[in-house]
Amino acid sequence: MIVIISNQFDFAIDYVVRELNRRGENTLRINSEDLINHPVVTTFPDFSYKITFQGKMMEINKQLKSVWFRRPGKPFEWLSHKEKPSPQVLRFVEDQWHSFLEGLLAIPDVLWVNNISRNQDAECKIIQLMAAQKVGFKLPKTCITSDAGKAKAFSDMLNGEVIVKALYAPLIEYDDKDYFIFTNKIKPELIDHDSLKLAPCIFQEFISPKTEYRITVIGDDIFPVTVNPGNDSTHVDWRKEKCEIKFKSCEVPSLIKKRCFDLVAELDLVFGAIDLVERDGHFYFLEINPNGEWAWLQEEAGLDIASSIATTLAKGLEIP
Amino acid sequence: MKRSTEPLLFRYKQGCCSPSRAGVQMKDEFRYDEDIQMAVTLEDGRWVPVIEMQDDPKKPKPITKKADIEKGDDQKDERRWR
Repeated sequence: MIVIISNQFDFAIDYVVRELNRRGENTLRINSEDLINHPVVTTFPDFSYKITFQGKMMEINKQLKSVWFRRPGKPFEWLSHKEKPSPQVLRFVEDQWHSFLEGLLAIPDVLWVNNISRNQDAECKIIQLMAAQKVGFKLPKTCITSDAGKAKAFSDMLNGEVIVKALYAPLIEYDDKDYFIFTNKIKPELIDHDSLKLAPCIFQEFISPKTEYRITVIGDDIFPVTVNPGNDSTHVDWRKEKCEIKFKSCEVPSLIKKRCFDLVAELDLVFGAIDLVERDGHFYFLEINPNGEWAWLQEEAGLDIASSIATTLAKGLEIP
Repeated sequence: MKRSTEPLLFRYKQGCCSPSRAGVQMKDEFRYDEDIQMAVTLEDGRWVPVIEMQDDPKKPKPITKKADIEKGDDQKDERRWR
C-alpha cells in the first residue's frame, strides 16, 4: 500500500493518484483535515495501525510500503473563523492527529518521501547551505545576522549589491489575507538596528546577470528547467512574476546533476526541488525546497514528474 | 523615538493572490471523489477529474490556497503539521 498524506485541495497530488490508479497500485490518500471523520485504532502488544475509509477499517501496518508526506491539512481548516472551535481546542486536536500520523514511522521497511524529520531539518537554510557546500556547490557570499552593523559591513563589502531574504518560510497569515516575503534587494540605509534585531535574516551577494534553474530530484530521476521571467536577466526573485514567467526543460552539466543527487542524499531526502543560478559558466546554489511544488512543470515544461513520483512510491524500499 | 515592533522583512511583505485558509471553500461545481481519491468537476453532465477539465474561460476554476504556490511560492508549509 502507498499512503499519501495531504489535503483534498492539493491538486498536484491528483496527477500522482491518477498515475497510481492507472497502474492498479493500492493507494490510500489521507486528507488529514478530514481525519475526524475516519475512526482510527492502534493496538499493542500485537501492533496494528488502522484507519477507517469508506466504512472499512484498513490495517495499514500489514501492507504499507511507502508514504508520501505532502501537505497535510488541519482539522477544521476550511471552516470560517466564526465556525471554528477555540484556538485551544484546535491546537489540541491538531497535535493529537499529528502524533497519530507520526506513528506511521513505527512501521518498519517503509520508504518515506520525505521522512518528516529530514524534511524539517532540510528546511533550515543554514543546514542547506552547509550541505550544498559539502557536496561541492559554489555559494553566493552569505551573511546571516540580526546585527545591523554586521549586515551593513557585508553590504559595503559587496558595494551594496545585496539581497535580503527570510531564514524560514515567510508566510504571514492574517485573518483575512495572507502575505509572503520574497527575496528583495536592500539598500544599506534601510538596515536598521531595531527591526533587524527582532529576527535574523539572510543577506546574500546579488548575482546578476544570471540564468536561473529549478532542478527537481526524485529518487534516481532529475528534471532540470530554466526559469525565464521575461527578458530581464537582472530580476531579483522570479517567484514575484505571476504571468510572464516561462519554464523550459533543459540540460545541465553532469557534474551539476551529480551534485544535485549528492545534495538530496546528504540531506537524507528522496525528493528535493533545488534552485540554482548560473553566471559566466559557474553554478551557484541558492536553496533546496524539500517539499517543493512541481505540478506547474508537469503541464508547462512537459515533464512527467508525476510518473516519476509514482514509480518511486511504487518501488518502496525494494527489500530483496 | 518609537522602537520598531515589526521585523525588518515585514516591510517587504506582499499580499498573496491565493485566499487565506478560511477563504478557501470547495464550490458547488467541484467535489472530492473518495472512490478515485481526486477532486472532480461537472462537465457535459458527468464528473471528471479537475486536472482533466477543459480550459474554458467562462467556467469557474477551482480555488486553492496554492494559487501562489503554483508559481513557485512553495513555502506555505509550516513546520511539520503546524
